[in-house]
Amino acid sequence: MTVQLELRALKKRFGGLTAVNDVSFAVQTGEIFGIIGPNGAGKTTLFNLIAGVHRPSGGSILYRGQDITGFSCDAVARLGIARTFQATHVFKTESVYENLRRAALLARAYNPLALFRHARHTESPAQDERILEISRFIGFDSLLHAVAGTLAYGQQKVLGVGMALMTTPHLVLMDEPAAGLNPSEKRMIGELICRMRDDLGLDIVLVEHDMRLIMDICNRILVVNQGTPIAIGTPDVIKNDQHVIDAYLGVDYEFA
Amino acid sequence: MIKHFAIGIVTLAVILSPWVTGGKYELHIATMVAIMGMLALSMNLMLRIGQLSMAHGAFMGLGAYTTALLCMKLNMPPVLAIVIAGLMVGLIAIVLGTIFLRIKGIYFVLLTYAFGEIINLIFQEWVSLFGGNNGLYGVPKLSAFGYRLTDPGTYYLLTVVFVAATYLLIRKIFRSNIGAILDSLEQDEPLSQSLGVNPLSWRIGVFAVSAMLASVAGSLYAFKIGFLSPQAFSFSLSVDLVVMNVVGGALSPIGPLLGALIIVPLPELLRSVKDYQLLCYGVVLLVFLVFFRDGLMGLIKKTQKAAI
Repeated sequence: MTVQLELRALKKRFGGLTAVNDVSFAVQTGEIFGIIGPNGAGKTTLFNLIAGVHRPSGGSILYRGQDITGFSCDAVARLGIARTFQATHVFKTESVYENLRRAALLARAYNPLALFRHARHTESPAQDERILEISRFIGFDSLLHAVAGTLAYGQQKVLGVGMALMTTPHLVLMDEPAAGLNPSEKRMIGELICRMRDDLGLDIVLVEHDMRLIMDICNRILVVNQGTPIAIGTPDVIKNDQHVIDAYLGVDYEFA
Repeated sequence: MIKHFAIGIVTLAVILSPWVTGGKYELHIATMVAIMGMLALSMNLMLRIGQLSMAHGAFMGLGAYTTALLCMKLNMPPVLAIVIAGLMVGLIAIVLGTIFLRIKGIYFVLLTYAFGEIINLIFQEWVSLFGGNNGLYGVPKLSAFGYRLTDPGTYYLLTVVFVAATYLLIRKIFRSNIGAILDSLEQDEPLSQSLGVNPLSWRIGVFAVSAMLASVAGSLYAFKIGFLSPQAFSFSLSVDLVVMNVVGGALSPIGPLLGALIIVPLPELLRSVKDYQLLCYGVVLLVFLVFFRDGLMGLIKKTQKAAI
């Protein structure tokens, strides 16, 4: 197993508040890596640091050995690190097909020169094939012509995952994939994430609130509290870690 | 089919009427409509990416003065001068864009406004080169391939060709993948960026193309009028271009053309009520902003829908 993504003593301060303090971990090939913590623990800030939304105040981020600290969102995406959003983000007035097509287009034509360089790839049969492949993978093959804005909330989130996959990433960052979903949708998205690892060979980092989902699908979990990592390990280790139970889950918490 | 035919006939009639009636004055107004239509279209490109540029008057002026000076001082062939001026203005827009376009909204408006004013001051104060407030006299007529374009009717048709080409270019841009990319950035920039696209580079590209179109329109203006003065390229010209888009409707490239067709002849039509000219202008703008946000084109589309 090789290291894909590595954080070294990452720090983020907002004025006087230290949102992320000395976080280090390494994500291995073929792993679903979960990040949990109570509200305000710094999960989202940590996520945004990796995704390039915020610039770290200290420490470094390495992806496949390359230092990507301070890269912008689009530069991170072009390296093969896709992300999904907590709220739904799709092009609401366009069809599912057009959403998937645009995802590939935006990844390829990242600036005007790139569009002309890759002009011959546009509207190619290979791209059409890829759209069908991804839509089958996310279970959208019968919805290709539906307008994205008319889809149910859960479906829009799944479409967001499909769009991230259209950029042919190696690693996918997922910001609370289960937030706002009902129990059956949660099961479905959990299964989808596992298939992304097993069938597509992707590495996945996810930030999540839903304890059952994270315990079910993650290979390893990092627990943060007040910006500081307090435990890291497999779900079984985390469940029995006294620090985690005391600091985050509460003394009387029972795992369902 | 019949509808398209009818629209074609009306368009052709509108284009040809000043040429047929042939009055020098009508031809002058019609030529100005075509040149301003081209400028309004270049402003339309900026509005579509959600940026209000107050530098377009300056871009037009830079195009006009550069073309004129290249022809007058270096005896350069006019066509070459137009191309060089366009490339130079495009380059200026790229440099400005890398700084200005990092900021959206009101600050971009203010920065472009400041740039426009600086350029205008240079036109006014650098008397030895630009002729200052007295203007630059003696711009030669446009000539190409040994043919001098002196007939106002022919020159009018040339400007129509340019405005039509600009219209087709902008329509093509918005129906192509470029349009899809720009629309994606407008609809959801964080999502677009997360997929890998660099928003700044696309905005700079649009700004440069838009500035180049304004420059070419400026060149055509210089050859038409034969005399350049800084007042013609002031801040108020940029405002007029926005007004044309508001009145005509900024959502389709026909909108700014309709806007130019209405706004450019307006001062001539209102000459008899000169004292109320600005008042009429203001009232028209208010009515459109309050009641017809999508301009005349929006109004036409709405009535079409109601008819069905």
